[in-house]
Amino acid sequence: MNKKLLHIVSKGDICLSCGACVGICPLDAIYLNEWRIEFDEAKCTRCNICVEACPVGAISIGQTTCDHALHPDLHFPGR
Amino acid sequence: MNSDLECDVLVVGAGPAGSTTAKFAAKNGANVIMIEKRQEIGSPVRCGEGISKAWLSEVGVTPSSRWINVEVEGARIFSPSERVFEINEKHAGNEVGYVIERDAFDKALAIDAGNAGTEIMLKTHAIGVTKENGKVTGVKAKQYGKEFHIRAKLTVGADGFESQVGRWAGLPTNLQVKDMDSCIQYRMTNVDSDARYCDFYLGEVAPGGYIWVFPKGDHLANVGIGVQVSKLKNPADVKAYLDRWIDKHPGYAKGKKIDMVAGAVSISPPIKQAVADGIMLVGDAARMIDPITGGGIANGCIAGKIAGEVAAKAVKEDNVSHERLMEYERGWRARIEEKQYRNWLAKEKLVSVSDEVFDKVIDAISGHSVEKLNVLNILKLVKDKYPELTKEFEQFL
Ligand SMILES: Cc1cc2nc3c(=O)[nH]c(=O)nc-3n(C[C@H](O)[C@H](O)[C@H](O)COP(=O)(O)OP(=O)(O)OC[C@H]3O[C@@H](n4cnc5c(N)ncnc54)[C@H](O)[C@@H]3O)c2cc1C
Ligand code: SF4
Ligand code: SF4
Repeated sequence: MNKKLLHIVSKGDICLSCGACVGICPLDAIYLNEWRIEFDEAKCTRCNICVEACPVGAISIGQTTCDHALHPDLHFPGR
Repeated sequence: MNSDLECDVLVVGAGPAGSTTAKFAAKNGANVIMIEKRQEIGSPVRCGEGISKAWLSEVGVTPSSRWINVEVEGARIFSPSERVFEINEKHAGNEVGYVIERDAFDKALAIDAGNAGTEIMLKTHAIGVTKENGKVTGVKAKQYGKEFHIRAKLTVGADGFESQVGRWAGLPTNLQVKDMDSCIQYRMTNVDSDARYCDFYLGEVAPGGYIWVFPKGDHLANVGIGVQVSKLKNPADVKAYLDRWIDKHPGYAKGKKIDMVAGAVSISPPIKQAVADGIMLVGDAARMIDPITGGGIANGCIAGKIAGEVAAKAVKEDNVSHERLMEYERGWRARIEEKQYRNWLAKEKLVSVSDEVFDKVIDAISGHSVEKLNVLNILKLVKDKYPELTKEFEQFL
């Protein structure tokens, strides 16, 4: 279990670029770059608030055993 | 090629609040830069496009056919069983208003700002604020892949709901999930909307918010929903709620969608602090949206005017300290805060009311004139007709 990393996934084809998740994230870990949302993994605490705020369910927090299992739609700045 | 830039007042975001701030700062002699991350001001539109008329002259905006789409006679509030309460111009006067072309409106405000002397930079993204000794001294910006610094005596965060400028500066703008409504809207053609009215549908059809139909003329309308996602079992259901409502209304079910937008509005009480050393926040960035209507264009512009005027004075005096900027803080609070707070209290109550109670309230007040309808009078009417409901609203008496 402790080897598992929580990771956050945005499903780009569902996302409407509405900015709800950006405005609500308490840690300033999400932003809209042009029309695509980006997560700053280092700031994110997986609090789930953005998941609750998204009106179309485009964000989910999943578990993975791989440190670098990034969803193709995800782009972590700085990597 | 971008080398670093310098100005008196830097406005981040060219929405209604930013353009109004820039206009009044420039008009009053400040050297102003306004940056906007989009390539086209006002587009894409993320708005129901309904506004009232009363405040336009206050912020120096003359109604223009370039952005007025439909002038409505009134608003209709539909209870869950679709009893109707009508608010018309006769009663509500200037509270009733226009359905606008929001992209043209935002551009018109930016044109005013530009004509007043504001330097406008498109496709320019603020990516952080810079500080010296705790005081904000401008932003790091990015344009066409190049990063540079814009040094400003005073920075204004007008970057909308998704505002980051306030947070970067350490201002308390965080929202709880219950203090926001998530919205989805279709523009639909071939619908039976009534071009005389903006319609609002309340109750379980849109928990913690409402469904709106704002007419755009010729069987065209903005049909949207705002809900408190914290009230839904599955937050991703917002669209399903709107689709369900459309399906149940034949006059809309036959319509064709020509665009779809989503967005979020804050429905919070006023924030505690909108200024700090070298920085001010205006509009949605300062959570100035009316918690009952979800409308924020008017408050953003009203606060923007005050912000722009204070900004020009403060930079002229070379004093952008927190204390000096309190003139703006006091100004916007005097103009907006009380109503925002009152409407937040009323909203807190409204979101807890059952469909049955909603129906009774609308039933009790329909047929009465809006002129006499303040909260107290509404409660009296409700009490006369449905004495058993008095307990529900005790706190307001
Ligand atoms: C679906 C929906 C329907 C609505 N309907 C209505 C309505 O009918 N009537 C009404 O009065 N209000 C309505 N509102 C609310 C209204 O849209 C806002 O209150 C209004 O836009 C606030 O204006 P603003 O200038 O504060 O922010 P915005 O209009 O959001 O402008 C902010 C600007 O800042 C830019 N920006 C953001 N971050 C950066 C950055 N880092 N760098 C550079 N630029 C940046 C953005 O691109 C944007 O152009 C609605 C909102 C939604 C979501
Ligand atoms: S899970 Fe929480 S901290 Fe992480 S991006 Fe979402 S809202 Fe921000
Ligand atoms: S809240 Fe959802 S739809 Fe809106 S920008 Fe975030 S991920 Fe996209």
